[in-house]
Amino acid sequence: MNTTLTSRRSRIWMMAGLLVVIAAFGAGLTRIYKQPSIEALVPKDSSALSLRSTVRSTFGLRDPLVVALIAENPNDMLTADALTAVSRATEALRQVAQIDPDQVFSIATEQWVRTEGDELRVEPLLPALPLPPDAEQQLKRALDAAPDYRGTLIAQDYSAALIAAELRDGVNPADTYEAVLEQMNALDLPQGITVHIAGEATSSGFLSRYIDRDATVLTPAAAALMLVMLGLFLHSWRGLAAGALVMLGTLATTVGLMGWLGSPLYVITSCLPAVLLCISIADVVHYGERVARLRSEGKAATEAISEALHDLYRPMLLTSMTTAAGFVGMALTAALPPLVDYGWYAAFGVTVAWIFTVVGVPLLFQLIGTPSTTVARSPRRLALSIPTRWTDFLAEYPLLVLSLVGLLTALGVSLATRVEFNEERIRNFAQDSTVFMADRALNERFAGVNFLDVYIHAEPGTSLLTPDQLARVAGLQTWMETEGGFAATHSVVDLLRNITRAINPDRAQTLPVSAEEAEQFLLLYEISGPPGDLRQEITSDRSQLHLRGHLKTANYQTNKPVVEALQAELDQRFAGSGLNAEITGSVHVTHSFFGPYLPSTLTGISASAAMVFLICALLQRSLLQGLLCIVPVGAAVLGVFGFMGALGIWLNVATSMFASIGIGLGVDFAIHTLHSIRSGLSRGHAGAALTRFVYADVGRPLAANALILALGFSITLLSSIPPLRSFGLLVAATICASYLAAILILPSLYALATRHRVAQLQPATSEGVTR
Amino acid sequence: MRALLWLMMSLLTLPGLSVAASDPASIAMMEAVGRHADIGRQQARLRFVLTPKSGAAQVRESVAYRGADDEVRKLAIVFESPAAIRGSGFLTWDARDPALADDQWLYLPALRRTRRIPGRERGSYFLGTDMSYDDIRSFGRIQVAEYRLSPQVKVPGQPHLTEISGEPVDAATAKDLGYSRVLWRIDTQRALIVQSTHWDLQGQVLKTVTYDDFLQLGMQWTPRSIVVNNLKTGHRTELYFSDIANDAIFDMAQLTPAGLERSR
Repeated sequence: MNTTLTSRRSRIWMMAGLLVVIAAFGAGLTRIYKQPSIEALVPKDSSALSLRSTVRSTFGLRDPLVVALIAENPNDMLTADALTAVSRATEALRQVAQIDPDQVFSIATEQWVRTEGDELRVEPLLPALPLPPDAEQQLKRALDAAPDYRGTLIAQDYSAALIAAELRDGVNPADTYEAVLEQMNALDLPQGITVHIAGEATSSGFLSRYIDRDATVLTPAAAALMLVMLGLFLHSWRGLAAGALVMLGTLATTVGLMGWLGSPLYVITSCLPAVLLCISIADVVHYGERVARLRSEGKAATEAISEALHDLYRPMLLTSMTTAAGFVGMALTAALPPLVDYGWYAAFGVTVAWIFTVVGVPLLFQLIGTPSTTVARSPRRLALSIPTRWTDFLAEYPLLVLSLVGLLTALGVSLATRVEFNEERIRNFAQDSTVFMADRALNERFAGVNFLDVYIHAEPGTSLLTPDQLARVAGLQTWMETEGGFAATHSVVDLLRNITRAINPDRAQTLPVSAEEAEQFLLLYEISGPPGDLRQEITSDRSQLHLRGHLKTANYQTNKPVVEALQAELDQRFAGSGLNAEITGSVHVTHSFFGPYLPSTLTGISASAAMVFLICALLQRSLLQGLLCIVPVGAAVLGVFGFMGALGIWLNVATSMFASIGIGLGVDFAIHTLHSIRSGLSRGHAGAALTRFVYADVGRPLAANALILALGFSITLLSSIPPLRSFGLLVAATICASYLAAILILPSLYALATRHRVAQLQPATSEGVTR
Repeated sequence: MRALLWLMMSLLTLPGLSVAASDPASIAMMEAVGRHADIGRQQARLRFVLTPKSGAAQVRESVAYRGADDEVRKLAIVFESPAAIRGSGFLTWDARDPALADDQWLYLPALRRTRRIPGRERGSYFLGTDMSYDDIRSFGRIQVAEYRLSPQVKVPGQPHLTEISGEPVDAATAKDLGYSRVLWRIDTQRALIVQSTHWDLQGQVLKTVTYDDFLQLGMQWTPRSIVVNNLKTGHRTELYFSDIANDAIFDMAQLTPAGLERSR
């Protein structure tokens, strides 16, 4: 390939064309938007998501923001000061512009029905301010009559009170959190009572903020680190300019394309720009260094630019293709939209980086000159040498080396069996973060803010309010709370039971005795509150009912048996009843996408490995060579799985990407090592001498390459999101392990194979692999 | 010195007074509007259509009775359908003297007797609709002393329509009413409110109320359609009146707790 253009004007026009392309794609950056919600993880055609959407729409459900006032000791919330604080906090939340004041729920808003002489009263559980002297007794009486509020709005031991608030449509959860925090800070709380803010709306708000923070920290940090690396290895401002061009081109086109195609920035993809920056400059280092080396050998600038490109074009293509293949394998097999996006856009970015390296960098060098001739020596000073006594040992004892590597891999496989396949949204937050601690506090004191709901709808001609159907639902709630693993449940049946008890305290039946009675009791409740007060529990035509189940955790593995048992119970309890019952809620959405996720993850890893193997085999025209390329990285990935098992790192949506990406990047070390081996064989080396040749030839450059990539991925340690930090750490570990596996396994294998039959081996065709 | 103090006080307070005072022409207009609301004995069929943001509408048919004496205005609503609530009735006595508490009763066939229920605040929702008790009681009439009324503004292209904006005179009144601002659109020819827009206490638009299909009964006009769109929740309330009979012949005992039971 020759991009040496004779006319300077032509070069300028071509460079201008590249910049126009960057600008055109880059304009899409303004269209990027964030998608931090849990729904973003789920495929759009998911039946669980579709059902949840239907239920949310039918019952007007929205993600709540939850404020808890938590006291130090049991019963502390029953003091007049504490109860006043609950009322004031409820009112303060209603004053927040982003919150729907009619959808604020607490003991100060929720009503109970009682009779007093001839008077029928529907009034708040907690009397209005100023509180009467017997407010505590009134509240306790109300909670005795409406026990379903204990555990949900006030802790069973009266040590905490909860206020749930729904946000108005279209408001920013992050802004809402700040506004709520401001209101809560303005409250004059009694001593010993602290405020905690949690809930799905809060989580989404924080994640949105984390995505912003990562974008402003990770990407600049990655760019700065890569420029430092370029400076260290190329010692030239021209080299830095080349790196900057490739990074800018890769970033602007890839992220800009996301904007143009309407792809959101998910939590997972928020680290993609930083990752692409790290991958994109690897070829720039190789190419810049080769140009400088040729210049130091006395070649003219134009000649050095052309010759270096000629030497490196194919190997850069091969390594870029294998890297892209890892991502494509992930994209093709991933079921979750963020991973599909990640795979395709990363593959696109790697390809763009290669194009900018083989087109943009030569052009730039022709316009501004080549890197300094001293560069050719600098990598030698900086690259990581393997001490001679080590290389001697490794060369002399290949069988021992292979045995040790085999042993380590076996240990990795053994530890890998301990890897826990699990997901929990709150783990997106650091354990010392406000959100994490609030979530923990709420789930400890209350019945839990994780919802696994049941959507019950009547078949045509069937009423939900007949005594037997009400009893069926009541029975289900009892089963859920006693055997199903739920901390609490709530439905319109609780309300009907409370009204029935209030009106007919002496009657044996605790539920309405006829559909008419049930309907009239609902009328009584409805005319006492705001319009649609029952809309979250039952539809106005009484054909659909929403039963809320509270769980103390959103942990996938913990909730898996709960979901499965509930499904079996629904199948059995509602068969032939004229009612249909379906599981829904945020916990079910997590269950639905994460359950099938393990098989798809394994398929994705296999697909990535298969694609990389095929590319290696095709381009090297040898199945054996393809297999040899994949063996070290396979051992490395198994080793890293063992690392995960040992450290207790979960295999979840974020960390599952490491293997596919690691295979694509890690295989490069095997490709270069195999090229060096073929080169050594062609020079007549065999056995230990061959190993020594390989270490001398590629040991240091590959170590430098591994260092750059590992450091680059370690940038994710700066992320605010723990799973992304784990992801970066795992990819960095895979890269280092792939490097070690390649330079330990492959030379040792060849050393063993050629020890006694050097003469039979034929030199392989050479491709100037230097990366 | 005293004169100087008086002058300073005047300068400080006058602007406030000028802002606080209602526009006299607007007061006159709202008082004219109010004359329509003070109707005599009336009976009508009333259909409630309550539609949530999504999902099926809830339709309730009823008969409404209105009447008044020197002390209280009375309103009874007896439901006829759906069948499950047939015979359920609601009665409210709205004392003309604001210092006196209102009385309310509910009759449910399942209870087999009439029960007193506590009077609701003026700003509370009426019978689970998007209208407040005050909206129902006043029926297009406001107490002008409770609002600072802005000067009238002509509606462009509609010469017979004008708009008046009102803000409660103080925070307590605002809380009582449940609104921080109301904008009335008035048909000046017939002195009728044809639409009102209400802002909640947080200053966000809460709902619009559209009065339509007016019927003239003697010297008075009464709407046969009231549609409330709650812009905050997406909920919609439609009230349709039919078979309206002013000065209807019905026993005023109908508007008593005992009468409520007899209405089923």
